[in-house]
Amino acid sequence: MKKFRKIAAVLMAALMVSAAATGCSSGQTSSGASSDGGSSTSDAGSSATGNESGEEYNVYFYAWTNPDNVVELVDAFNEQYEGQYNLVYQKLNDAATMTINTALASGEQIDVMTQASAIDVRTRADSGTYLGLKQYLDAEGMDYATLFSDSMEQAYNFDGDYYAVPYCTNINMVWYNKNMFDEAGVDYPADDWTWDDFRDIAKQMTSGEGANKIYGAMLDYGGPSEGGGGDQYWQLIAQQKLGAFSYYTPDFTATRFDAPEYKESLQFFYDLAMVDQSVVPISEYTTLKYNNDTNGMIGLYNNKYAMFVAPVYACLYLNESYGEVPEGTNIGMANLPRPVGATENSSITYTSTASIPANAPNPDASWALLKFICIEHPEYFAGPKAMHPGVQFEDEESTHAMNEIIFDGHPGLNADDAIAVMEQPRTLITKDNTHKEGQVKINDLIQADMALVFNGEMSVDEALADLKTKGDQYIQEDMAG
Amino acid sequence: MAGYAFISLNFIGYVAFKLIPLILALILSFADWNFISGVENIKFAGIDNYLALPKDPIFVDSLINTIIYAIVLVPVSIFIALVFAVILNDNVYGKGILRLAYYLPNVSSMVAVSIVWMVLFLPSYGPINQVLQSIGIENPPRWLNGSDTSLLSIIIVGVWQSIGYNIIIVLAGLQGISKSLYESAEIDGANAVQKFFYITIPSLSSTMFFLTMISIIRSFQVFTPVQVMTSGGPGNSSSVLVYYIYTTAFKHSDIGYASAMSWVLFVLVFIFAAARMIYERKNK
Amino acid sequence: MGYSRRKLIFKIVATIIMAIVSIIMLMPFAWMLSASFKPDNQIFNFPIEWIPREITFANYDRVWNSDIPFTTFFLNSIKITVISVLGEVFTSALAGYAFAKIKFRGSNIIFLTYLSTLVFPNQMMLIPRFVLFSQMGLYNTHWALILPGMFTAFGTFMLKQFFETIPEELSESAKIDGANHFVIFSRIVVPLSISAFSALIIFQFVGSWNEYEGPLVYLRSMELATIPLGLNYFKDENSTSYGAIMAASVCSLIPIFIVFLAFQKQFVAGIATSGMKE
Repeated sequence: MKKFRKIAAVLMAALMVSAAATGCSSGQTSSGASSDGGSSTSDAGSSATGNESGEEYNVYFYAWTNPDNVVELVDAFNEQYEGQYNLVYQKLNDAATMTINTALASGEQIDVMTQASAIDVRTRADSGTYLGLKQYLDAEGMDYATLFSDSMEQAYNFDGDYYAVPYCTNINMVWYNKNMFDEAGVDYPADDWTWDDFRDIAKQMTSGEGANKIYGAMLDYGGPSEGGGGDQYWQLIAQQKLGAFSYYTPDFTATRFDAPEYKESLQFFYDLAMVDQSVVPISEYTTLKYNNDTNGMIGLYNNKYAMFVAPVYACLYLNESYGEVPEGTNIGMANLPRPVGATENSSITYTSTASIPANAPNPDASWALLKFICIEHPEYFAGPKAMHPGVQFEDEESTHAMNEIIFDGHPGLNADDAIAVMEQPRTLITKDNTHKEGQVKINDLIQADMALVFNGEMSVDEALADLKTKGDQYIQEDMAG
Repeated sequence: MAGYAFISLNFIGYVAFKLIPLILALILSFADWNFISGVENIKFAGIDNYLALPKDPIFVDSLINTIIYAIVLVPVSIFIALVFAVILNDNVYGKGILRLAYYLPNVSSMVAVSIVWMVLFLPSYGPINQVLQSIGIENPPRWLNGSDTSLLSIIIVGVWQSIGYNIIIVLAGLQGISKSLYESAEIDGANAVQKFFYITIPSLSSTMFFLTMISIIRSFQVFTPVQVMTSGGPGNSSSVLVYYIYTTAFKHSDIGYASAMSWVLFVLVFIFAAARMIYERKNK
Repeated sequence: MGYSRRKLIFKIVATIIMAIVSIIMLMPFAWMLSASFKPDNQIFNFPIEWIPREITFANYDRVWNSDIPFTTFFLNSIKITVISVLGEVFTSALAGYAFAKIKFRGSNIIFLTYLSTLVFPNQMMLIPRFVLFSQMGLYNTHWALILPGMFTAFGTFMLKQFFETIPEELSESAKIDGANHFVIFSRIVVPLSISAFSALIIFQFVGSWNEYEGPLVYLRSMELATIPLGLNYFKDENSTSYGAIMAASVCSLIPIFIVFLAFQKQFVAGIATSGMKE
């Protein structure tokens, strides 16, 4: 045991020496390599030394949005911190857990990292990857719950500290192709429609056969998380009925996949996919990657299906830079249907968050950027991405102003109509789940089982029974360990 | 002295990029390390990583799938290649062009051909199932989307891609068989099938040895078609060892566990290669 | 007479059968090529229309004018392949010469180490190399792909085997004339080994050009991607159009097909010899 430590230590020391050696020489080698666009390592080195001589510190900001969506942010931030900080945007290829974990482990300088998964924040915080942010919030006299909401505070409070700050809240809505509705003579979705209405309309809007079949709706009910999917929308009704942390019992000691709400929810989407065949089949949308919201919106305006369930930011993909929107495109936005019998509207939300890696060289600079994008100026980061900010607005006026930023300027979308729908009352239920016992494994199991269910190889009851048994077991194992 | 001078460049690179990584892989397999938390958080875990393997159903599935992939692909693709090579050797016109056609899949990148096959295999309206339906098969397989056919589909692509390489190796081996053997067999009245089994196959034993060894090593390392076409699904029906190592390391950041699996991969290759080698010795 | 006639018929039948099989082998390529020129709504028409009813270049337009920089991928692939393959030939030739022609202490041990590491699957290196590269600041640079390719045990082994077939007398007589090892290596051994070099180059060229795992794990920036990795990016972002994906696949395959067709003789010889020597 001791010997092993010694050997490991020697080896690691050798690694460090070789790292230092190549680090020095890479100044020359990668200056040649930097002409091909990458290698931020040498820039990082020079900026750290540059700061001491009174130059601007480069703040490396990692996210996955297109660079043209952060132009405004870069300008505004660099103006406010002129002479002090300089924001450098680094684009990740996607928001997948793997992409972000690999970047965090890569040894590159990262001042602020973003993510779309709540459980990933938890695992990263637990492994010591992220800096606790309470010290900064306290120093500014800020309170997490007041800024973001009680439920956000509950989700992101890990043993008294916070490791991530939400920069946006994504609210699920239903997008629909008005031209297709008009042609079929079907009424647009009502403001108080239910899932049964959704099912009826999807059936009416389905036509054709084979490769050119047109579907009533597209939603990522059970796809894998690779390639921008993994929404697992088969849970929507259960989430609407059971609330936050939906598949855990209130004391987090077991799952509730045996609850009737789960059965109702899965059965409903199973019927849509396998009985009515009115939604895009899983084999097709995972191949065509409609579960990537960009592609999903493209499919909608190209008349592949009449309705598309996706968060608010999907309207951004109507813009030119994401694809060619045909002349005369007319997209509408409707509420997420309510469960049959419910008296008010509700929607499922998730947040994307920003964090500071524990090894960030200049945490003050990181905090400055974090505060800028998440709290002080959501209009510069969430805004251009057509997302609602994580911070709560106190008055209707600023809420409306934000909605205008979000919905204005997307070809094929009537912004006023969309804003009118958006500003209707609804309960927001977050699906951000940061409970660590069992969750990572349960999520993998859900993906594996749902692929079988929606390929017709497993029944609804079998799947839920499997989720219940194994899920409970995972929780027990984690609680014991 | 000159010897060291000549060898130094290659040796330094070899140590840095092969030997040290190998040693590191061994050390890491005894570590409990979430690698996004940094080098300083490595903890010694003893053989815990290895002990956890048999209890992990996804690992067991991946292991079995990898073995199935190898023991189906290796003999099938070598046998097809053997038959084709013998026919191509001097029994056809236009040998050069035909050989070219068979070899084309092998120079193509696995990513590109996987993408093409993915579309060909589409269950609802892909060309393969359209053909099957048109000849009267009402419920054609769901290929990559069926848990009982996903691994088979990946094997089909693997066979298709590896045949060309095997043919060329066998053809090279056939060049070394003396014509007089066949001629004297013909005088003795042997037919084509007899010549194939009594002359061709025994004469090719060293070629076959090489080919099975390299095919075994390659097929245990299958990764790209799985990553591109199925991501291991549906369920874990097409997950293979290297794919599971990859997701464990880079998605779940469990470097120690992934390293332990990579040593299982090595042992697996080693056992199969050794078995083949022992068989070779016995026959000599 | 009857015998050779039977042989002739057999040969014709065999040719026809093998030609049909080869067409089946090539069908995925044919389908890909044909689909790449079709508008999306005609790709899955059945019976399969091998020659598009209406030819469109829109798919190719999309490949070359998308946000995904295909030209950059080509240049990256060329750069990485050329440097690592030439580098490998250079370092392997030197080391192979040392093992084959120079007696020095420890040469046997070192050679055995080289030989034994050949059994370790390359995939095992993926994780430790990632750890090393991130410590060395090589992550997300092309060096992470070039360097491991430059120093291989396989190249050294193959060239050593070849150099040993060069008669000892040639270098002996040069030694008497006062030539040192560098002279013998560059004037005598290298010129005699061109065929072995070309075999090694061809063998490693395809491998390096098509490598996917390395770029997937060691690269983050899209501007650094090689063709296989770039093709996967393109697939993920443009998968709503089968035609465009097929066009991208066609583009990604054309360079290697051209190289293959131009050097097919050397290719076949190279693969056959590399196989025999291993």
